[in-house]
Amino acid sequence: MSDRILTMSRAGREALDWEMERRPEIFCMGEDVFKFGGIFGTMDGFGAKYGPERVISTPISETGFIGMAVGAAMAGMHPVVDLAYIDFIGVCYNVLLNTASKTHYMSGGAVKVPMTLLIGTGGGYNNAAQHSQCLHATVAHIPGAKVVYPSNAYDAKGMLHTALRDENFVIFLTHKGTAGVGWMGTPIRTTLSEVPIEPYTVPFGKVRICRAGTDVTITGLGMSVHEALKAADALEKDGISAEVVDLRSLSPLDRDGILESVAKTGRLVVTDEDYLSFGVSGEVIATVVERDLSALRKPPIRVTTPDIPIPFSRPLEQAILPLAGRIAEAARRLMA
Amino acid sequence: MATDVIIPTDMWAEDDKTGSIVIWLYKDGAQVREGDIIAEVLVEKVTLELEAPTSGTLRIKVEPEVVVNKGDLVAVIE
Repeated sequence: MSDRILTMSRAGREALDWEMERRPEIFCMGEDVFKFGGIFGTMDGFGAKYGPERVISTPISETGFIGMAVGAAMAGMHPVVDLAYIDFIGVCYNVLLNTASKTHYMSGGAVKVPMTLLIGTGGGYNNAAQHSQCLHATVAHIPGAKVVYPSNAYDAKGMLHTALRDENFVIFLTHKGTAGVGWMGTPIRTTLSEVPIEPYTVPFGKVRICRAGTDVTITGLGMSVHEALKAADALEKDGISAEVVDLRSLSPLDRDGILESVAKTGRLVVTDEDYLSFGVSGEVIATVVERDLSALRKPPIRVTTPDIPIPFSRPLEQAILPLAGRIAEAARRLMA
Repeated sequence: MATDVIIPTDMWAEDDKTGSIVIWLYKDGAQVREGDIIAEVLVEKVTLELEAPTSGTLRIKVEPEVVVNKGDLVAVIE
């Protein structure tokens, strides 16, 4: 293991750079990628290194450039597209829902769509209702798309290598607050990892136990992993041992891994920065209940963003986000 | 012998702009090699990279989020 520490942004860039150096079929597209390297810095410096044919800055038309990318993937390229914020997914949803994720199946396996779509999610920095959403359930609900969601630098590099070597359409989500880009403030300590310089892969569909515990399981993904870890620190002072489970991958979802933790603790708090209803939080609970109802000693609790537009006002936004205080309170209720 | 790690005067163009260290990529006391990227420096929304001028043991002098100017000493390498 190297003793070099990286942010998620730099770790992802290293994986993409390594693959691009060796594979001419990989190219990048998105808004401001040539000069600026994308809003999360994943392609920082790539314009100068790889030139305008492989690092293509696009107009602000997700409908156009995501459509182009899917066509290029069908023709044998591997596009890596930076969609910036998931809030903008509406205008390109048809090509994701019906083309990128269905063509392999509809063509009887004849036409593959190897494409990696990078998307930033989430709020917590006062960017209001149209620039703060998570919406990961909206993409995890598409059969035919793989959806992964690393929460630390080690996983970001390993999972991006895996995505770039996948023959299928992969949606690669990163919560903006975890990326470690300077304009979002000081990186969160638990997002930083010692990252090997050599390439490595992290497989999709396996949870990661970030912190082992015996009293209550807290599942999270993206930013909510870090809030869960803060909550676990607070709970430890009360003598409550919380196990924090990072889902890491939504499609495929490691249902056995979730149940294994809950079977050990008997209590479940599900955290998710996406909206409460019809989402990943309900899916996690359904997974446990369907497989083994007897694993639960108490009814599980969901700690999520409520089903309302996310407020611009900082006090209001902080009040509705699933932050550590709300998560710890839920765990205490289960222990009472 | 210790070598100063200085914010290079050509790290960004405008003299009146200040930066701040976002993150040290190695821990205080870690071994670094000449040319390793050892810190990220933020100027407005742009993240720049600071290289180790020599090989040795990193001694960090300026923590993240503190304002730095061109020419400032931010670490030494022993």
